[in-house]
Amino acid sequence: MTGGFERVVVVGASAAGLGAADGLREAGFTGSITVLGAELHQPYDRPTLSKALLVAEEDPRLLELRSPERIEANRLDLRLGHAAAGLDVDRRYVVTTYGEALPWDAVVIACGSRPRELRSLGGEVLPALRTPEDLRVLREAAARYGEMTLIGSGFIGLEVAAALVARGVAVTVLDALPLPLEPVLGTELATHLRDLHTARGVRFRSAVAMASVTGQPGAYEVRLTDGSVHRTPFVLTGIGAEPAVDWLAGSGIEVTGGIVTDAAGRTNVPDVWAAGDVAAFHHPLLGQRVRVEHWTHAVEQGRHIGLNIARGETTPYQGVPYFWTDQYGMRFQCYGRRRAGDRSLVVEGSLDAGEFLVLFGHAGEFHAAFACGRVRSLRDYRKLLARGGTWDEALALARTNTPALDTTVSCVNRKECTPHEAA
Amino acid sequence: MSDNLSVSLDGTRCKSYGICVSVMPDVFDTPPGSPTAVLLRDAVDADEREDLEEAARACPAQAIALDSGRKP
Ligand SMILES: Cc1cc2nc3c(=O)[nH]c(=O)nc-3n(C[C@H](O)[C@H](O)[C@H](O)COP(=O)(O)OP(=O)(O)OC[C@H]3O[C@@H](n4cnc5c(N)ncnc54)[C@H](O)[C@@H]3O)c2cc1C
Ligand code: SF4
Repeated sequence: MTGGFERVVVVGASAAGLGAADGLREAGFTGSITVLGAELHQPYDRPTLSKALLVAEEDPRLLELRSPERIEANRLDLRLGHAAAGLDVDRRYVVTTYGEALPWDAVVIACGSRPRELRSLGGEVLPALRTPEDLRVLREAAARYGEMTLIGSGFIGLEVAAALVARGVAVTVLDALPLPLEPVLGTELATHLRDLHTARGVRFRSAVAMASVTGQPGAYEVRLTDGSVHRTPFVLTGIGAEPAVDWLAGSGIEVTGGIVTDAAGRTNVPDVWAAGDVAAFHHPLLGQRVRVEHWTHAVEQGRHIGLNIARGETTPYQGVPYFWTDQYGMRFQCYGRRRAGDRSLVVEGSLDAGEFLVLFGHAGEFHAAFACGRVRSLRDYRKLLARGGTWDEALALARTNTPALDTTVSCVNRKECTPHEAA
Repeated sequence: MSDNLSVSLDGTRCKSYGICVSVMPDVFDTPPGSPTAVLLRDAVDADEREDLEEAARACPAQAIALDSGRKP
């Protein structure tokens, strides 16, 4: 490390920010690490908000991300409730909401994202789920009304639907898409997922966009573009998340759909890095700039950047994007990213059996593996994705598990997606 | 031949949320009804080290510990 490099400020005390702090120490950085966290909670595990903590009968307890001992052992100056309010890239200060001006030799921006806002015509920002405060509002509404409407059928919306149905809440999901998550999963899987929900009582109003929301908690009216009106006591929005970059306005940091970084995690300003949900980085495996909004990605990319800073390196981050989602006691996992126009092929199990592994790819390229169960096999596809393996290599791997696999028949347009066995 | 790596799981910390299972399904499992995750094996090959370290990092409860001590 170059001399005089002693102070790192990390903005955001969650997966990516704490990952970066760990990476710095792991690589032997001995200087000061100040971690600013806008929330007053001890750093906590966010994904459980829409899963176990929503289902829980009793008062939910946040799962803490780092024990106090570990924070102390890593000598982190964790300042909860102190948000970054501005970044001065010339004099090299981070200014906080407490009026502190923290000098830095490097900054890691890991302030995540926040729900895209939807307002009622009366100006109320409609509830979403991102924080423990949001969770409390949602749990109270579920208990009070026993009925609610979700706008948007992304992963969080579907997890919330599954959790609430398990608690006996009547749930309606509205979405402009014909099928939930269709762009991410493709038609077959999206249909499968939708059917899992409808079988358990979730009602979908799909393929019709929302025009406006009026009313207040207890009595909302949602107007749809087909002219119909949907009445509901409570609305939860889940229409995506936006990078939390307001505080960087005018700072000189380039923001285009996220904080723009190179593959190593560097922004356009020297010694300012970005990781996690907030970063739009060039991904070598995907060959494009992406924002990956997944938990383990935030942990891993954060750590990677911490290592880079401490070692004075600019190694590219090329972890295979990964996410999981839990619904009705089933865990779905995906490595890589499906792209529009990909073919899909069920290579193990079957959708009907509720245990399967599906590959996505196009024109000889292998893009993603999505599974419910079949976790052992999934790991091998992950390794293949990590080294940029081809579709043929993926098929060769599939044949080691299902020797009679007929790979000429795509899953597309087939009623039942089962591995096609020759004879 | 290969160096083994032993792994341990602190049952008093683990909350059975199963993130480790996602990362290393052939080492960790969360059996239905069990209050904590369980280890399917407690030694892993050296070439699985990176995955195991990733699982340990991903665990929100920091319940996973690696012992890098080399065994014959
Ligand atoms: C309900 C829910 C369920 C999810 N489930 C899954 C899942 O099952 N699987 C999965 O892979 N991913 C899931 N995700 C996504 C995952 O949680 C995110 O990708 C991850 O939290 C990103 O981590 P991060 O550290 O980049 O950002 P965040 O976790 O958003 O943390 C950023 C932190 O920075 C703080 N901050 C913001 N601005 C400032 C500022 N100016 N100064 C200081 N601090 C600031 C914020 O308050 C926040 O605490 C889920 C997300 C939600 C909301
Ligand atoms: S990730 Fe940690 S807390 Fe979760 S099941 Fe695994 S060991 Fe337990």
